[in-house]
Amino acid sequence: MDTFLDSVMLSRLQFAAMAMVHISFSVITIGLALFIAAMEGLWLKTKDPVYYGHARFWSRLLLLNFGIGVVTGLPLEFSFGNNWAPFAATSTFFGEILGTETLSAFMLEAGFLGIMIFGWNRVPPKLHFFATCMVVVGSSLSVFWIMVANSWMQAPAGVILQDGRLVLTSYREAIFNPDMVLSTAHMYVACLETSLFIIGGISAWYVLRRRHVEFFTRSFKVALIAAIVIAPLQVWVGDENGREVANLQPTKLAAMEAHWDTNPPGEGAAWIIAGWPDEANQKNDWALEVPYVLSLLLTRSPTGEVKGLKEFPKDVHPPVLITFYTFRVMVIAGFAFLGLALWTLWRWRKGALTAERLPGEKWLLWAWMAAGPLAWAAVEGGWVTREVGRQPWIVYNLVKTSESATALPPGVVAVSLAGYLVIAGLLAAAFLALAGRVLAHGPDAATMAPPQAKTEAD
Amino acid sequence: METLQTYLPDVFFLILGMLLFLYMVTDGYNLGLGIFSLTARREEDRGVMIHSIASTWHASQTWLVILGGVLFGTFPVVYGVAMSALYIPVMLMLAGLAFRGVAIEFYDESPNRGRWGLAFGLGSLVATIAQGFILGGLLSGMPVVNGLFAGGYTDWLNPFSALVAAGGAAGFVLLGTTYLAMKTEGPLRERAIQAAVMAAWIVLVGLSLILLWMSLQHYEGRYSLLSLRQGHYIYFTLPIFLFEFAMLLRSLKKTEQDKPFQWSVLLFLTLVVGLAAALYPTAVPPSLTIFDAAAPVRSLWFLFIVSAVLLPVMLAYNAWQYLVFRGKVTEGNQPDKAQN
Ligand code: HDD
Ligand code: HEM
Ligand code: HEM
Repeated sequence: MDTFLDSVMLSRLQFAAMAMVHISFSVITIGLALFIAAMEGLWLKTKDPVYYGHARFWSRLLLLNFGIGVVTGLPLEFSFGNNWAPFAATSTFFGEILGTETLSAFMLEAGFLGIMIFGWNRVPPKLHFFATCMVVVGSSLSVFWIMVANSWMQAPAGVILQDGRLVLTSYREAIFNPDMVLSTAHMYVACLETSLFIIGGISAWYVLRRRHVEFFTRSFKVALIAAIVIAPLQVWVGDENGREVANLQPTKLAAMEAHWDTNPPGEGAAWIIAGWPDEANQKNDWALEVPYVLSLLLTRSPTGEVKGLKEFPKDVHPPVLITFYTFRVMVIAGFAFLGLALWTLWRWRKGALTAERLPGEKWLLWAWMAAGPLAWAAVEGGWVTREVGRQPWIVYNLVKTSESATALPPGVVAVSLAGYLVIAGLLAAAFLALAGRVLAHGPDAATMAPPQAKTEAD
Repeated sequence: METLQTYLPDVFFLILGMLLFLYMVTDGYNLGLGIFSLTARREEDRGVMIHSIASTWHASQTWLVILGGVLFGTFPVVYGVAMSALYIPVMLMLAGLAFRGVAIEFYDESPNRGRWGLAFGLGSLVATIAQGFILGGLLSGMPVVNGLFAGGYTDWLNPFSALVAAGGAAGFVLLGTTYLAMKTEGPLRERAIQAAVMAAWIVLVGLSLILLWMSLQHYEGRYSLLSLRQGHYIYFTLPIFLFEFAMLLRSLKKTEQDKPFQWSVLLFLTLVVGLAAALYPTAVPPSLTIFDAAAPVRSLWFLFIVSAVLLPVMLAYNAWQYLVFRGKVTEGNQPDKAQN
C-alpha cells in the first residue's frame, strides 16, 4: 500500500461500497418476505382480514425495497469479472457457487415475485400463497449460497494451492467448510432480526401517532414474539461465531479485540470495552479493560491463552482500528436488542400491550423506532469486521487480496466508484422518500379487503 | 458419461448461447419498450407501457444474472477477460439497468411519474447502447496473455461496435414495439406497429453493414469472421433470416396480433444461432477457445448437474408466470389494482 489510491485499493473500496449498499436492502427482503408469508398463511388459516391487510400493506414496501436490492446485486456479481478477474480465474470454486446461486435462488425469487405482488386477483389464494413461499425460499437460498461462497473465503477447505490456482479436492469439505454453518446461521438470524425491528419500529411509529392503532398493535406483537426468540438466539450464535474466529482466524480475532500480546500462562486476557489501538507501534494508547473476560469468553477459563497480534508477522496484520470498533457496534446492538425484548416482554406482562394502552408507552415505542436503524448498523458492522478482519487475504492464508485485483487504470476505477456512490445515493434517497410516502399514506383501504368474494364471482 | 465429460465445454457453450438468447429476447423487449417510451406523447401511454412489463421485467433481467453466474462458473477466464476489457461499458450498462429497474418499481408510488418515466426510458437506452458496445467489443477481438486481458481499456470504443450498438438498439426496439402491439389496443398499438416497421428496416441495414464489416476486416490484417474456423457458417443462416424478415414485414402489414412479436423472436434466435455457429469453438475472438478457458472438468460436472436439474424447472415457472399475466393492458388496468 505505498500509494493509497492504487487500483487495488480503489477496487476494494468499490467492492465494500457495493456490498454495504446491497446488504442494506437484501437483508430486509429476506425477513420481510418471510413476515408477509406468515401473515398470508395466518389469513388463509383464520380468515381474519387483518392478516390479509398486513400482507398487502407490507408488500408495497417489499416491492420498493426489492427494486434497489436487485439492481445493486447486479454490480456485485459483475465486479468479480470487472475488478477481481485474477481471483475469478484462481478460485473457480467461488464462481461455481455463485453460478449455482443464480440458478437456484435468484430465478426462484424473480419468477414468483411478479405473482406475489401483482397476482392477488389473478390466481387462487392458495396458489398465491405458494408463490409467496417460493419468494421466501428463493431469498433464503441466496443467503445460504452466498454464505457458502463467503465462508469458504474465510475458512478455505477442500482445496489445494497448485501452480497459483486453487484446485478443488472435495466439494463436501469446501461447501461444508468449518465456518459455513455458524456464519450462515448468524447471517440468517441477522436478516430476521433486522427485519423484525424494522417492522416493529414502523408499527411503533403508527401506534405512537395513534393511526390504525389496532392494526399495527397486531404487527407490533408479532415482532415482539419474534424478538423474544431471536434476540437471545443471536447473542448466543454470535458468541459461538467469536470462538470460531479465534480458532480459524486468530489474526482477525486479535484485531477485533485489539489484543497485541499473548497473555502469559496463569494470567487472563482482559476484554477491552473501548480504547485506541495504535497500529504503527502495536499497542493501545489507552484502553478500558475488564480483566479475565477475553479468556473466559473464548476459552471458558479465566486464564486460557489468547494469541496476541504480535505473534504474527506484521505483513499479515489486518487493520485493527476498523475491526475493533465495527465489532463493538455489533455487540452493543446485540445486547441492546436483548434488553429491548426483555423490557417489552415485561410491559406485556403488565398488560400494556393492548390497543388502548400501547400508545401511552412512549419510551418503549421510541426505543423500537431506534432499533431498526441500529440493526442495520449491526449488520454493516458485522460484515466490515468479517471482511476487513480477513485482510490481507482474499482467501484466508492462501491468496492475497493484492494479487487478486484486475490491473485497471486507477482513474477508471476512481470514476466508476464515484459514479456508483452518486447513483446509489440518488436511488437510496428516492427509496427513502417513496417509502416515507407509503408510510405517511398508511394502509390503503382499496387493498385491505380480501379478494375472496371477487375470485368466486369471476 | 466419459464422452459427456469430454464434451462438457461444448455443452456449456450451448447452454450459454441459450441463456444469451433468453436474455436478449426477454429483456430485449423490456429495454426496447423503454426506448420506445421516450417517444410517448402522453404520460398515460408511458404508464400503460410500464404496467405491461411490471410483473415480468425482473425475471427477464435475472436471465442476465444467470448468464453472468454460469459464465463465471464454467469459463472463469472468459468472465475475467471480457469483464475487465469491457469494464467501462459494463459499468454503464449496470447504471442504465439500475435506473430502469428502480423506475419500474417506483413509478406507481411516486407523485412525480414523469420523472421516473424518463428514468425508465433513458435507463433502458443507456443499458441497450452499452450492451451493444459490449457485444461489439467482444466481436472486435481481445488480446489475451496468460488468461488475463492484455489490451487497452477503451478498445471496445470503435466504429464497428458503434454499428453493433445501433443495430442492437433497433433490434430491441423491434422486440419492444411488437410486444406492445401484442399487449395493447387502439392508437398506441398503431404507433407501435409503425415504429416496428421502421425498426425492422434499420435492423436489416445494420446487420448487412455489420456482416460486411466482419468479413472485410480480413484485409486490414486483423482477425475477421472469415479467419475463424467456422466463420462462414453465419452465411448459412442468411436465407432463414431473410425469410423470417419477410414474414415479419408481412404480419406487420396485416397488423396481426401476436405474430409480429413471434417473428421478431425467431429473428433473434436465428442471429444467435448463426453467431454461435460462426464463433464456435472460440470464446473470445480471435484466439481464446472454450477449451483454454473452461473451468476444471469437476467444476463443469458440478454445474452441469445443477443446470440439468434447475433449468427445466426455471423455464416451467417462467412460462407459468407469462400465462398468469397474459392478455391486454389498458389504461387504469394495472396488473393488480384494477379489479379491487
Ligand atoms: C442484527 C445483526 C447482528 C447482531 C445483533 C449481531 N451480529 Fe454478529 N454479525 C452480523 C450481524 C449481527 C452479520 C452482519 O450478519 C455478520 C457478518 C457476517 C456474518 O456471518 O454475520 C456478523 C459477524 C460476526 C462475527 C464475525 C465472524 C467472522 O468474521 O467470521 C462475530 C465474531 C460476531 N458476529 C459476533 C457477534 C456477537 C458476539 C454478537 C452479540 C452480542 C453479535 N455478533 C450480534
Ligand atoms: C453484503 C455484505 C458485505 C459487506 C458489507 C462486505 C464488506 C466488504 C468490505 C468492507 C470489504 C473491503 C475489505 C478491505 O479491503 O479492507 C470487502 C471486500 C471483499 N468482499 Fe465483502 N462484504 C460483504 C459480503 C461479501 C460476500 C458475501 C462476499 C463473497 C461472496 C464478499 C467478497 C468480498 C471480496 C471478494 C472482497 C474484495 C477483496 C477484499 O478486500 O478482500 N463480500 N467486503
Ligand atoms: C451476505 C450477503 C448477501 C445477502 C444476504 C444477499 C441476499 C440477496 C437477496 C435476498 C437478493 C434478492 C433481491 C433483493 O435483495 O431485494 C439478492 C439479490 C442479488 N444479489 Fe445478493 N446478497 C448478498 C451478497 C451478494 C454478493 C456478494 C453478491 C455478488 C456476488 C450478490 C449478488 C446479487 C445479485 C446479482 C442479485 C440480483 C438477483 C436478481 O436479479 O434477482 N449478493 N441478494
